[in-house]
Amino acid sequence: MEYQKTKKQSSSNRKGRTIVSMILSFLIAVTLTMAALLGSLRLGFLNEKMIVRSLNVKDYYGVVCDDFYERVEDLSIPLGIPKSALEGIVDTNSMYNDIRASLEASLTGQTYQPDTGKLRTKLKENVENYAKSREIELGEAQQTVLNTYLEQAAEQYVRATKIPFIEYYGRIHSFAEKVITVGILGCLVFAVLAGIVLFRMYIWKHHAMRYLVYSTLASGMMIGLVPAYLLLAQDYRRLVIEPEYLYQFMVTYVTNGLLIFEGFAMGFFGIAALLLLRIASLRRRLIKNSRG
Amino acid sequence: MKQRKSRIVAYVIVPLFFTMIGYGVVYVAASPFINIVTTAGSMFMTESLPEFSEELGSIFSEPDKDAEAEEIPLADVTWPKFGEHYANVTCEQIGLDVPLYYGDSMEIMRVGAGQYQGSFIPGYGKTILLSGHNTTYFSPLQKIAVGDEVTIKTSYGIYRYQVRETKVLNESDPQAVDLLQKKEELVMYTCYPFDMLSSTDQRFFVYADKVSGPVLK
Repeated sequence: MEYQKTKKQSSSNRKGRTIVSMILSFLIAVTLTMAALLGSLRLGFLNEKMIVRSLNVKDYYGVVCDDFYERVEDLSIPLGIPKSALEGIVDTNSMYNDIRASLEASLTGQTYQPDTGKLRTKLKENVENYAKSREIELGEAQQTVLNTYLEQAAEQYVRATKIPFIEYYGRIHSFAEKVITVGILGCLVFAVLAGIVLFRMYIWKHHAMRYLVYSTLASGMMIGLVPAYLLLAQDYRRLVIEPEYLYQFMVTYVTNGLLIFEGFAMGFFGIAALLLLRIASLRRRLIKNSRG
Repeated sequence: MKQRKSRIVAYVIVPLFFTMIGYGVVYVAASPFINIVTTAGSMFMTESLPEFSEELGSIFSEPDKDAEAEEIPLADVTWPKFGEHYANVTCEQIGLDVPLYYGDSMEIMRVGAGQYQGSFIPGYGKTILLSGHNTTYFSPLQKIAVGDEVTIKTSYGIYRYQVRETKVLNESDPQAVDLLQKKEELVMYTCYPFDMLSSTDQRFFVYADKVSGPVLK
């Protein structure tokens, strides 16, 4: 009778311990997922290096330069200024330096104004040389029109060196950085504490480790499933963004950001695999010791 | 063996179960916002992948023998879409020979003459309003005179117009063009004067009346 009672008590204790372990395992999964989510944002979408990398992929700088020349050509044609007058007014290197400087300034909440003096001087020189070659004398009215044209060309250059919406990114970035650091630490501390409680509930540590495997596998799935779907369906490629160079940059940026999430998911699966190996090795040792 | 099998199954079932609960909780918590987010998101997305091709299409082909017919059913005519090359405009007296595109964007004006989309195609019996750059395709207009003949060749017919008058008007002059009149009139305009670096407030207008070409019924 006593034996039956003890057996029943022992069975209900085990059930209770299993339920508590499952709850702790789920909570560890949720906190690890949140930590991974914050970490993915920090290393992915909120990483300045990610923006720079996305700009490099599709020759953003070269395409922006071409686009700038096209826009200035559109200003030039109605004024009788030929395409040849635009030669050498800007080169890809200086555009690259100005875009990078503008990006870095925006990310730190500052403004950067590129120097357009060289562009205006060179363009004015080209136009005046062209007029001279056609024996056209530029009167006062024409000089006024020329000055307006140079201003408009300079405005197009300043516009070309700015990446749209990057100032808002800079503001979000500085605020989010603090929140993310605190959030990740908080989640990891909670996960560790829950893990300690879990381990203390079991004499055989490999029993507790099973629940950690459930947690890491679940975290991997939770953090990886939605980005995997987005990467496969590629719905974000239907974004309405113009011009094309900006669209390509955004698509690359989003793709790289989603891949970071997948990296974390793979990391969790890797940890789960290591834990499984450890569980197997602990069990073998236990069996060996019990036989010995 | 049975216990081992159930442990392996647990490694699949339990994480899946946790994942479903996790997504379920997020869905329930975020459901008031999901509709707003998806609706807002759909405003920034198209049905298919965006097209950035800079090539403008063409529906123009040399007109066949029916081009000189007096009437053509409107249903037999393909109305051009924005950016399509659908006709050629020529004037032998001044050496004008330009492709005509439907629409008048910057991209179109780089490669030919553009037609204002609020005007009508030749044969429709209303105003046809064309524009082009004075330094490129419409540069010959500076030599045009009253009495010169302008030809618009489309896939469905050949239309001839005789220049009635030319005028220099301000770009925003409401009297410059009447799009509501019930008579077919060809109006071509470009920036004025034709000199380099000239002020662009003014426009040079050429008005021409229809001489021949099939009517679209």
